[in-house]
Amino acid sequence: MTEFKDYAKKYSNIRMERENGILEITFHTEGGSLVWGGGPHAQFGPAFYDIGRDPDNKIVIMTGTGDTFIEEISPETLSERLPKSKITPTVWDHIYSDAKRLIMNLLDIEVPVIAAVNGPVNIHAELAVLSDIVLASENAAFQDAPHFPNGLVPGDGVHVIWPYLLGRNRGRYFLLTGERLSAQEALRLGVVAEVLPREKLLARAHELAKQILRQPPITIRYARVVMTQELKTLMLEHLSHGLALQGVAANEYWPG
Amino acid sequence: MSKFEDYANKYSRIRMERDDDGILEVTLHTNGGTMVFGPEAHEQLPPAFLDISQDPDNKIVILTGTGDSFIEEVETATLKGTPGKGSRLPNWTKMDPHTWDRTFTNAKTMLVNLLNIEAPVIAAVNGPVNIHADLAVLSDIVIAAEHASFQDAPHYPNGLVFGDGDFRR
Repeated sequence: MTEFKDYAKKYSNIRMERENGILEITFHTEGGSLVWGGGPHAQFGPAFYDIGRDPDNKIVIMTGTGDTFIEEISPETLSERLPKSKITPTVWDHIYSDAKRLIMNLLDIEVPVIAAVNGPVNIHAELAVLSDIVLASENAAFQDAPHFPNGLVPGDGVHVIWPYLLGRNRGRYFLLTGERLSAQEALRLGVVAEVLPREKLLARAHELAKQILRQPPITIRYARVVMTQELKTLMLEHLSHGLALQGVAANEYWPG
Repeated sequence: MSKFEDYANKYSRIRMERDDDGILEVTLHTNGGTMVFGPEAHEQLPPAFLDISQDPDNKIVILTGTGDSFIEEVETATLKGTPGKGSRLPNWTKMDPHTWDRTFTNAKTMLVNLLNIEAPVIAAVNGPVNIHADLAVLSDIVIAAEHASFQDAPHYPNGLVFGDGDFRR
């Protein structure tokens, strides 16, 4: 078990605030929109683990900072762990572990997760769309930019979640072509439940959180558990294989 | 491993053309026109997909049909032929196990060999497909002509179990 005070300030890229059991986690880089890189890659898995182990978290709201969710990547911070050359198995082992924890620890949070997607997300968009409820601001957009369009195998779980959400064929098209889905398209395709003006997004997330919290605590937890079971099974089945092949291909080609 | 020149002209129902980039275009046809599905197609597709999958010079595959439909007709002689005169699906009231064994093997290897092609497959569905539409929609990317349509006509509507890969998901 964990306690809020032990992890609330532990992660430099994740701000955590909790009120009446509603945990709001905000991704950021020095207070601005999150820039993906080595820090987030290493922090997110352990942060989700801490959150999942704290029984005082009754529901989680996940959001970003400013007008983008995650749209930028910092090659510098990534290259602290990733050389700008061929990826060796030893280096890949870090990526593999981080990537697997990122997904599995998130799904192991046994309370409902609401994503308030405050703008475009083209890096690790699966973090948002794996949530039980996905809300998006009008300016949001969804894309898988870092993998196939960037020369990498889409094997870190995106190969599971996108065909799962969009349908097998629509999902494969999305991953192979680098298609960017607008908030409205994501709504039409069932990826997003509601599209809202940016300024109303978080308020709506809290409103839904309070609505969910009116149900008995065990019901709330078990509802999350039964609804994520299939996703966890699929991830366990396909994540290691996907990451292994992504690593093999990254040894051959890395967009350094 | 296989080489393009060994199989490019091997199949009378499948035209293969490959450019310098390794883009293999596979066109289904019958005598140069729209493919009419029959025993040749059923016999040729499994080994053709195997040959394609075993050739490392195929970097990507485009699968298409000829004319204005992908596959929409079956050779009637195939279904209503006389036993013992070369047709494999005679119009018997009951299918015997020996004949079914051929159909079973071809049907199974057709899909498994197609999925064993480890280069992306793009289907360009040039028109209606109501027979083995599974071949097209198993592709990684499926694009369709405006007048294309998809149906599974040969199975349940025709009195047969849809057991050749059509029924999952």
